[in-house]
Amino acid sequence: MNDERAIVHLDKELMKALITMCGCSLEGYICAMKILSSSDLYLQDNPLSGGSASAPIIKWLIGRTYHGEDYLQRRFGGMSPKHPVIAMVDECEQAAGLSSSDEIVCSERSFNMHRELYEAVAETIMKNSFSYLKRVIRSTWSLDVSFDLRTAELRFKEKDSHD
Amino acid sequence: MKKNNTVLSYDWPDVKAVRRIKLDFFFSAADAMFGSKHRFRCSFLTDSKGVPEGTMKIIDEGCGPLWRTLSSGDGGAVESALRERSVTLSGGEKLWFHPSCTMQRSAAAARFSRAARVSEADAAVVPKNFRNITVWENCSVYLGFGQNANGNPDKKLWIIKCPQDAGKDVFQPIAGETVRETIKRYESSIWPLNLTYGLNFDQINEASDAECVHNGAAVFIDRTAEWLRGVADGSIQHIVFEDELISFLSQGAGLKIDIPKFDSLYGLMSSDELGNISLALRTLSTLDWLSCPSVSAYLAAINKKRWWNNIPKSKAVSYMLRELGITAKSNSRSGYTVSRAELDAFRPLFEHIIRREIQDRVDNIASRCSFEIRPDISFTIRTIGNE
Repeated sequence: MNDERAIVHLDKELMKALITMCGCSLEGYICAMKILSSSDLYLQDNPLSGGSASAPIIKWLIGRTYHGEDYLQRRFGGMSPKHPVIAMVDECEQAAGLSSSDEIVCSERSFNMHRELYEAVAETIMKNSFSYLKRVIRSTWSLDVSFDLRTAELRFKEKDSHD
Repeated sequence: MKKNNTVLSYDWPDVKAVRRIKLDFFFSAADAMFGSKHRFRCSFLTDSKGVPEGTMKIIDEGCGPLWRTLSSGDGGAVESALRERSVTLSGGEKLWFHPSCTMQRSAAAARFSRAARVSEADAAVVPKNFRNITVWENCSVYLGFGQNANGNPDKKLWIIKCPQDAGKDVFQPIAGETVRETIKRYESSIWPLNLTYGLNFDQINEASDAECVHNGAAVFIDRTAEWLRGVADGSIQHIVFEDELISFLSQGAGLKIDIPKFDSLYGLMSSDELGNISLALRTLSTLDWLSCPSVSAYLAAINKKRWWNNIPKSKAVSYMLRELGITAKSNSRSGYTVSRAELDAFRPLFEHIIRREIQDRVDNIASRCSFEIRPDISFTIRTIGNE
């Protein structure tokens, strides 16, 4: 870790911004990864270890545009292998593998510790989904629907806990 | 025109009968049409009071059973006979409306197609007025030549209703004899004293050479019930009473596709069981599907590949599918265009459909997460182009 970098506090709004950036473009994704790599969520001991409460969110965010090794190489080919972003992605991949799936599996401890970030994840996924639904409804019914997602209350699944 | 002792039996089945019989005393201007070639004018020799304006049919051995039932004067038997001809509506039938029906034809357009001819129809819609029948058990009809308004010879019928209470001296013309001969037989006895209806002597003079062609029963049908003639003659095979059609339509209007029905039909249409799909299609066809064609077409198109070759044998279903544009080649992906009127009328249903879609997506997301999601979301719907 580069201790000289400024540590960014990753709150709910920043998390939403990072998710959006990941979905925009290569540059957006790289920028988001840079911010993530300098965030307090990542700059802690063993952020991707099995017991880390941060790991599920970090892995999920990195995986937003993960489309396989070739794709990643093509994207990050121009960057130094020692670049913190590459190092982070590599580390994440070695620790748990990456997936482009929306699946986000976490422990109750992680959920409680980073509830706001999970809310950001859930709300962003839903907004993206509703954006798609808006297009579906338009093509299916010739209707224009405007969605207003104010909040998303989350509750950890007790019985189906992935702890 | 051949005659026998009961008169004209083989020529009368084609009789379109005496039309527009005037209620005036001793009218002389009513038309009677026999077959397609012969036109007659009809007159009463006696008081025509009580004779409805409409159709007259002589009852003889050439008449069909329904004519005989009509001539019996038994209202219950008539109703029973007509019930046998009536059909139970399910929607989608091709209907022909008798001109005497008063209901708005367009009221049925949503659920039924129209036939231009009764022969093309599944059923004829008729008014429920089959009691507008008058029976003369004993009347005499004379056929001969009178004079028209220009003083030229004109074929005419003269009809005499014979008193039924005249006992053995009842006025009883004999087939083949003329009016003059009949009067001669009776002039010293009951004629005209026992005829309580009075006589028009001018007409008797004019009819004096006319021959008696019928002596027996005749049925008069009120003009508003002339459809009975079509039923009795067989040109109308199946009937639907107008009030029953109105009742059916009002039921349909009450059976709007609401949220519970949509959910139920959606579930059935999505089923793997063809029986469930068939049930859903049949049920949908009984609802007021045309008032919300987009939703109806959407529902009906679910699982189409699965059921298309097993369409329920129902005219209502076939008609509904045809009207909704669901064909072998139609593709639900081309979507449906919800009109402003449809959206306004069924806004709660469309909101429900969208809410279902939202919930499906939320559930789908949550299924891949370690947490449940309870979104606080609102949405507004507009038709495209109505910004």
